[in-house]
Amino acid sequence: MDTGIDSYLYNNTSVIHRMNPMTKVVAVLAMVISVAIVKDINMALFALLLSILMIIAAKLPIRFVIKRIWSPFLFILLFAAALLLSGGEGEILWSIGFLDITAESALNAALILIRATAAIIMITALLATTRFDIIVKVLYDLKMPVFLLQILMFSYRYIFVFSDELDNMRNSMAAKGFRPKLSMRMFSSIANMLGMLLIKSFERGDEVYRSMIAKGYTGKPTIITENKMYAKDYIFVSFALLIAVMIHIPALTQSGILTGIAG
Amino acid sequence: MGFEEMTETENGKSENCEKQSEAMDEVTPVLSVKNLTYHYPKNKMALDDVSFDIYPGEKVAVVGPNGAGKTTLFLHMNSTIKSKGHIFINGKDVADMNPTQRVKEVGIMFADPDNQLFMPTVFDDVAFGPLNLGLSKEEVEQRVEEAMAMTGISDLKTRVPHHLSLGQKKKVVLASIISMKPEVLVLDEPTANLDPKSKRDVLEIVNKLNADGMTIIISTHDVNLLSELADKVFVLNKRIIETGTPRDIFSNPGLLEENNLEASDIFKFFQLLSSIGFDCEELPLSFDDAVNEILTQMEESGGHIHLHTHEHSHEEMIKLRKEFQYRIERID
Repeated sequence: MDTGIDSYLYNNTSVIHRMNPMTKVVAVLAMVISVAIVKDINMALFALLLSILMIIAAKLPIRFVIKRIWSPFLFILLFAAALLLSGGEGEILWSIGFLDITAESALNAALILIRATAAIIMITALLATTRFDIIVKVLYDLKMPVFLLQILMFSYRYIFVFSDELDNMRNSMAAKGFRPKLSMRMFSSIANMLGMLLIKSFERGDEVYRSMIAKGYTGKPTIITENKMYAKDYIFVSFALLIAVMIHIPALTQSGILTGIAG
Repeated sequence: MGFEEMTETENGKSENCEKQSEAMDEVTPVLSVKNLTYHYPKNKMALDDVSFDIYPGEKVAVVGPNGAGKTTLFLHMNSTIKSKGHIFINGKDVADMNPTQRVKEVGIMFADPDNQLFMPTVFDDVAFGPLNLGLSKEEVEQRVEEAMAMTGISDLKTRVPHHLSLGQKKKVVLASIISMKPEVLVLDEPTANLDPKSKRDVLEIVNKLNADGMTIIISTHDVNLLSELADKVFVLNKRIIETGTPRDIFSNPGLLEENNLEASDIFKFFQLLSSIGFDCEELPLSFDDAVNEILTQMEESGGHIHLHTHEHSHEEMIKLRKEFQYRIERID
């Protein structure tokens, strides 16, 4: 089964697929930034719920989403585990040898886990329902620096080329009888293969640059965009921005900042 | 037709070619290569004193063995490899031109399309060149539409390059070059690894561009398409070994062998036929030529073609097959 990030792009069956890309990008970016810094665990849970609702609205199969978020989730899990065991103030809930899990460390770990998971799910919902080239164009319209966009574009374009090259090399190793067995020879063969991929990527880099020069590249932007926003798009973006701000109200109230302002 | 007769005809053609060349001398060449010598790092010779002129509207092929320096020569043509004083376009040194000027004069299509399609969609790739020329959005869009229509890829406009077949990718690259409307189009092995239909498509596009006045320079190993791809051929093997029409080149077995080349299958087959009595004025180079030749012969001889062996038929066939580098044992 094809589980590439763009494998559900062309389903085009959901309201999220059909939504204006600018609206989607701005709403998701605002939500992701907001979720990443939210202090209140209930609000983080609310954001997680929102992200799951986005997946349901986008009609993305749950297996696909799990497969897409699995690797970054493991990475975050490691961070959360480190945070959990880092101790802190408050009641000790559990001790493993010299490591204490306190109420504060448990809360911090849960918070980082929930908000990072919510952010990844939101990004997955965006990437799986919006063509990457359109996201790039939206970012261009949002005045993201052109050099950054070009790096982003090339990364996306050449991921597929390099993965094909890697597949070709793996197939050719298999065709010559190579079977991955835990041995020094296996590590050496894989290292050689990766080395070759690196050399090829350098060469390809040169050739791509050569071809850009052959097309008169001077460093100026080379993107044409044609995205139009309508009233309903502005309403949706405003609504998303409002939610992105509102999820910080409990924490701000608790810290006294909001009451201070009100007072 | 015997060999001698054929050679006479070929000489006649060559004379015509020379007369044509003399006439061309009065026209300013669109591209001139003058005494170009280039060494790879570690002093390995890549090009040795290469000189030639290409005139407006010509359709020229550069053929030669692998590693003959074809791609290196092409890289000089748009100054990717700098070589001041050696490459001139319409009399101006290409090394002195700015990138925008240069791409208006020469468009180069390299062999690997994956290196040349780096934008997110087909449209963006075809628009890349015109945008670099500083054209307005409307004009860029118009050029993109024209180039895509010309190459038959209008339906791929919003597709991402990594989902395309090799044939489609090559056509997109071609569109992305012709959207810059260069005066000279340089194609490095445009038909390599393509299926027969895609080859034919590329051939048709190239011929149409040439008919519209674009000067074409092609490197190819595809000898069966050579006569359709080019009117003039340069045999390059570090230096220019020979210049002539495809027929001149195919008729020189020594030249072909020394440079890892061969004549087209049709040409070779009709050479064989001529040894068993098929008498034609000019050996056909392509399938279409062959069909015409056969039909003409049949019309002239009352609906028949007469083939027969004679005293020397067998020897001639052996000689020919030897020249074509077939194993002699297979004949016996």
